[in-house]
Amino acid sequence: MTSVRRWNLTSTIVLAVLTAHVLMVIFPFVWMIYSTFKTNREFMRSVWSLPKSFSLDAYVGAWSGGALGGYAVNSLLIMAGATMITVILATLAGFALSAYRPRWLPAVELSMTAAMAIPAYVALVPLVVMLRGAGLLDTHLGVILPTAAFNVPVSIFIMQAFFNTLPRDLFDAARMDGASEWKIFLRVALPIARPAMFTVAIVNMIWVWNDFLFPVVFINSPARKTLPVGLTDFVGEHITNYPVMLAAILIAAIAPLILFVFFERQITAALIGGAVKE
Amino acid sequence: MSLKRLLIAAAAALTAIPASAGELSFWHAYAGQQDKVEFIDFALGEFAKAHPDVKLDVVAAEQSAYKTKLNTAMASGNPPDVFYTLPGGFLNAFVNGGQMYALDEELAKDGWRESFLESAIAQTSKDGKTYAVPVDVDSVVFWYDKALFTENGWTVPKTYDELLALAEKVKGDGFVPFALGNKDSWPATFWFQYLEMRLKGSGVVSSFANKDPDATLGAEATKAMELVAEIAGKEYFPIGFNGMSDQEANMLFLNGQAAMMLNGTWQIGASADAPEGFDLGYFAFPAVEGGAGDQSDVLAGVAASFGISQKAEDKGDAVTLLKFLTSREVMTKYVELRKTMVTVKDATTETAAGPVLYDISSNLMKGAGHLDPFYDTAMPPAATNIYYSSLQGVLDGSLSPADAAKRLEDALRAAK
Repeated sequence: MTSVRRWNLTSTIVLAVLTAHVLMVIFPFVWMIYSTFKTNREFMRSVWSLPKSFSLDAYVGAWSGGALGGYAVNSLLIMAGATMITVILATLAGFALSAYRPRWLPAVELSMTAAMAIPAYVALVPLVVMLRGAGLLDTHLGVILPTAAFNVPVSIFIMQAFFNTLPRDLFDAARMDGASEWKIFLRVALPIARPAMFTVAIVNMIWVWNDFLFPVVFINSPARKTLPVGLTDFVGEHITNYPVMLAAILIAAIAPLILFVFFERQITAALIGGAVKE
Repeated sequence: MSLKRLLIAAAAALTAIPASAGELSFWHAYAGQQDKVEFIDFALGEFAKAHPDVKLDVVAAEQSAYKTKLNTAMASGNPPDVFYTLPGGFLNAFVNGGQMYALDEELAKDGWRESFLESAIAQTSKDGKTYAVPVDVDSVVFWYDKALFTENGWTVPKTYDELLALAEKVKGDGFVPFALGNKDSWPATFWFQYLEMRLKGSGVVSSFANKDPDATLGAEATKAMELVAEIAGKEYFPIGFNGMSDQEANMLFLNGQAAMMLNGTWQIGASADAPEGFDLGYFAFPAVEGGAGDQSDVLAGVAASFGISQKAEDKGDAVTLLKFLTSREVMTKYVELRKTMVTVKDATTETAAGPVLYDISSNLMKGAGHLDPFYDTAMPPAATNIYYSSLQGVLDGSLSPADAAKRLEDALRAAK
């Protein structure tokens, strides 16, 4: 009872600005949610108004119109596969490039930078030819491998930059104790690198989850489509049923939301871990 | 999820079997929009009943994604057997690459060629050969809400000057005269093209495509660009129209905030969910006084067509599919579901089309001196991009009409 909050101009202003900011950030979500309860006619009449009646037709339409559940599984598989490959390769390569600093390091770095400069569009045709040759066209692996290949260079840079921040004495001490290079990597480097690996994993997950180009070009079977490609089932060239489309987007957003709730602590830790030197 | 389980899942994905060799692959862009999906479900369902021996491997993608997908497949030498393609420059790129199977021999049999409108067949032909069968025709007119016009005492204009006077009045009454959402660049092209058609005449861009040595947009292009700039300058379009989508502009129109809209016949379908009391009407693009073109000409182009790849193994089955898709029964159903005119003669019936579309089909289109295909699809893709960007430049005032006209002329010459 003693801590009576005193009226304070500064804190009121800060609070007001923050409230306004939160409202601005939240409103699109709120708008999406209540818009899904409208009919398309209602939506067309007034984009902002609240629904007149509570109708779940949009959700029924979205769930039956597109095989959203299947798309989500496909997206998850591709995301998990590509992210795992990228994180493993990037951690190994990042450690090696940082710990051993080979003479040809500048050449490696240059080639990786050059690879990063290649837009995915340019590589589409050769990739399709290669994937067809390997029998991987229209398979999940056919999306996973090129996606990982495109994301590996920048991921290596992040891991390498992280390992560069570690004192070399750490590894030298382990070496003096007779640890093999593998053991140094597994027992010393890897545990410390966990936040950086999470950072790489999270960025990769976001990239892969949202990727549209590779899945749309490499996948033909409706049963193997990913969510972003599947969501175009709801967009028309000239006519779009907005409530149904918004409902589909909301359903599609559930998976990343669950993922975030599960890994919230690690994600926050990773973001902070990446921010300061340890 | 454990690592082991993920690996098992990945292995399962690996062993997925691709389409077997005996199937006819068919790619189309009838996805996303409900009426498109309804049509293709109907057509393929009926085909399966009529030809149970032909197994199809169907791939569908939404229009814009479809273009990327098909272009990649064609460029990598892995084309589908039968596929949906836009006519004009998009199709011609495949024709130039020797990837399209010429259909003339097949069209000559059983009066197949005669079942199409000749003007439509011309849009899927190059150098005297036909490489695809046209499906539907969209024409562009001015749309308006009859109820809103009556309420405000506005009258349908006959000449371009009357149109401008009406726009001024509409603006004074607190409405947006013309709904336009030009984010995707194609909506504003109708304005330029109609003015060019009225001032100079039809067939200008087609003459470039046909390698006519005298092909030119003429000084009229500058004049047309000036008139487009004038409309934008007088703020007859909605605020921020260059960043607004066609569908967003449509909301202004359907909600009675904008009076008119220059748009394709797909407007009929787009108006299906209009608020009650909305009464869709249309009028032809008005005559421009002193213009050298035939003032009755209509901007109407083939929107989609189907072709067969040169590499298709079973051309017989492929032709069977095309003949089935362009049969009068299937095409009448197309009109009924999509409220779009089709290229097959007598398939756009009154019952299937509804009053507005039937009126356009039987009066406006039949009374037209010429039908001029959409410039942006008739020209090669590289020129289309310049067409889009220069027109946007004129609209936002960053490019002078004369410069825009010159850029477009140069692009068309370079592509010739």
